[in-house]
Amino acid sequence: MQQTAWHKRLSTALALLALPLLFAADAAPAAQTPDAANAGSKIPDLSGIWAKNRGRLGAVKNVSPFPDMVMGDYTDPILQPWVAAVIKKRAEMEKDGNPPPESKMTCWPAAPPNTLALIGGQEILQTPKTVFLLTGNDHQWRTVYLDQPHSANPKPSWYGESVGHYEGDTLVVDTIGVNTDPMSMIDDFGTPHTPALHLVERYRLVNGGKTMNVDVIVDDPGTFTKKWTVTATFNRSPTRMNESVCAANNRLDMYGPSIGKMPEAKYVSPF
Amino acid sequence: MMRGSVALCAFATGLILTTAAFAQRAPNAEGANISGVWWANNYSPKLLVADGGELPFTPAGRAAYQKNMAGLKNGSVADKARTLCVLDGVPRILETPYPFEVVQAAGQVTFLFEQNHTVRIIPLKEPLPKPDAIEDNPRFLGYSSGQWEGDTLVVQSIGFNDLTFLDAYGAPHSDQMKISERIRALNGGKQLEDTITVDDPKNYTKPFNVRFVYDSHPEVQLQTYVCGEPHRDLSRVKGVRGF
Amino acid sequence: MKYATIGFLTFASLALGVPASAHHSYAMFDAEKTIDLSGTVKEVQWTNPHSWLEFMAAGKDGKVEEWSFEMGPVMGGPTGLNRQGFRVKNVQPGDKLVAKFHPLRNGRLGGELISLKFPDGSILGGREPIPRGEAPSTSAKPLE
Repeated sequence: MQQTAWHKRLSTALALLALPLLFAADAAPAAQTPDAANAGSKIPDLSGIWAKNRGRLGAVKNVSPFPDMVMGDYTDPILQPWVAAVIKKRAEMEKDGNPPPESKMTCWPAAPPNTLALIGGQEILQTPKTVFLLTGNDHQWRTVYLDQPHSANPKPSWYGESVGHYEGDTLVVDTIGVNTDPMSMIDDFGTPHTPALHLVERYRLVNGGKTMNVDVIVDDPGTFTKKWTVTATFNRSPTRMNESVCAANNRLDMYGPSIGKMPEAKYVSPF
Repeated sequence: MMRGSVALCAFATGLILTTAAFAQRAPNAEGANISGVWWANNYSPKLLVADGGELPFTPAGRAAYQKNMAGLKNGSVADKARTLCVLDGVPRILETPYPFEVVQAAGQVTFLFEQNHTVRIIPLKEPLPKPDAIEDNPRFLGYSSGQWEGDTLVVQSIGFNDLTFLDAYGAPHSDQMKISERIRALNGGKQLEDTITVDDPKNYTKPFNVRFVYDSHPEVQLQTYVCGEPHRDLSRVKGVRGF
Repeated sequence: MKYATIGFLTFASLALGVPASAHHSYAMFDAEKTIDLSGTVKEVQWTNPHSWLEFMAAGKDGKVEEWSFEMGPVMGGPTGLNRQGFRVKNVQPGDKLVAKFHPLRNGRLGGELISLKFPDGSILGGREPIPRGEAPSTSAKPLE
């Protein structure tokens, strides 16, 4: 008798909970997308295709003699000594014509915030619970969950764990849990990081909605002696992102062994 | 009675979960709701014709198929979609035993496939580009244009490169292939169906149909897929071979 | 919002309006050396982000070998030869051309393609200096 009673109570409770949902199939959580239903809300309409403006996103200056050669200023005191050594080594390799490994050349994921620095641009899709940040290089995307807090101990992953919320006219994205694979580099200089890397990105529109500024705050005391910030700016693009498949005809044989290897899988026969 | 209560619990829980999935779609999105995470429960490395029977090869198509199959078996032909994780192409990516997510936002329908972190964008209200505008830029996934017919998303795709197979057995296609699809939700949103017509006269004597059905999995979050790294467990998908 | 597909004829609008060089550093090419090499087209590998021209040519020792020239992205970016009139059908296997290029510093047979000259004297490409690179700037500021 007692068993039947608790089942009945539970099922009644669930039914009462579920009943309103029958009538709310398409309802969004309050003010989570920038559309007509939320007219007057300040949520920015970030959706669309964004072309990157000039400027690198690294913590230090590029001190190379040529504008297209990337050599980070390894004397900058913002770098912890072990990081300065890495940047110095890479700069020397560049100077000698032996390109050092970098994710966009060898088809590894771009660690955030380096995704913002890629030439392929960004495409942003906003839904009530999730914002998708697509990158035009090598068909990558990051997922920002709007309806969940961070996990207590996220399993490290290439793009980390991103959660976000809107503050007035700004999308705020908080990222932790970026893995520390040797190919995880957070900028064009190939700067590594520690597991404690914490990123905050603030996406907002300026210039009448034609420009998007992303303020990035990088916090990783094991890598940098201070928190630092940089702003990536984007203009609306009239053309769609092109398909860019890094692993298709990637002629690493021409660049020499210093550039490293692509990720590869062993063939498993389906026959 | 207990059975009735359990059934009601299950129904209510299912409704809550399904609604959570539906609420993921951007409001005012056009057409039907096909948003969310979808995952096939079965896989075939060989492309199966919807009405049964073999692929209707032309002599050239059959010769290419046999050459590809033999080469894949003896290692002289590479399946770069599996070894280097280049894009699988269409329809092969739709055969995937990994989950994918459909996002309806920004005037397009976007398919985000976990496998090879593939992005397939289907613009709505944009015509297909003219052939001469794209002949120098063929794509693994072609160029698509979609429009809603009631609750069905009708998609046309052209402009494919010839660097992919139709399936894991090496069925060929040319860069003149045209693909049509009808995509819709089934069973109150519990499933997604994609019926694909492949039209490639160079390799096939007539257009043929293939059909895939996927289950809704709102509890699944897609993972970042890097070639050669460990991937998720696929044991729930029947027939997985070659992964 | 409707978007234009990146079409060859709409090039003026600059696909994504950004310089191409951020693909990688061009330090691997010797920008101070320019070589003209006569040879025969073997193959055009037309992919993003980089296209390659495979070219059979005799080096100094007279031996015919395969050279690989990087041609920039298929679409977009000022170095993309397609921006300068290059169409796949313009260059076919068997065509006898003169390739002008900046050689690879590492000594491998190849380099960064500047232009192609046809038997009738017409030239594809040829913009010099090859537009490259972003200004070496960063707007990063330490906090606290």
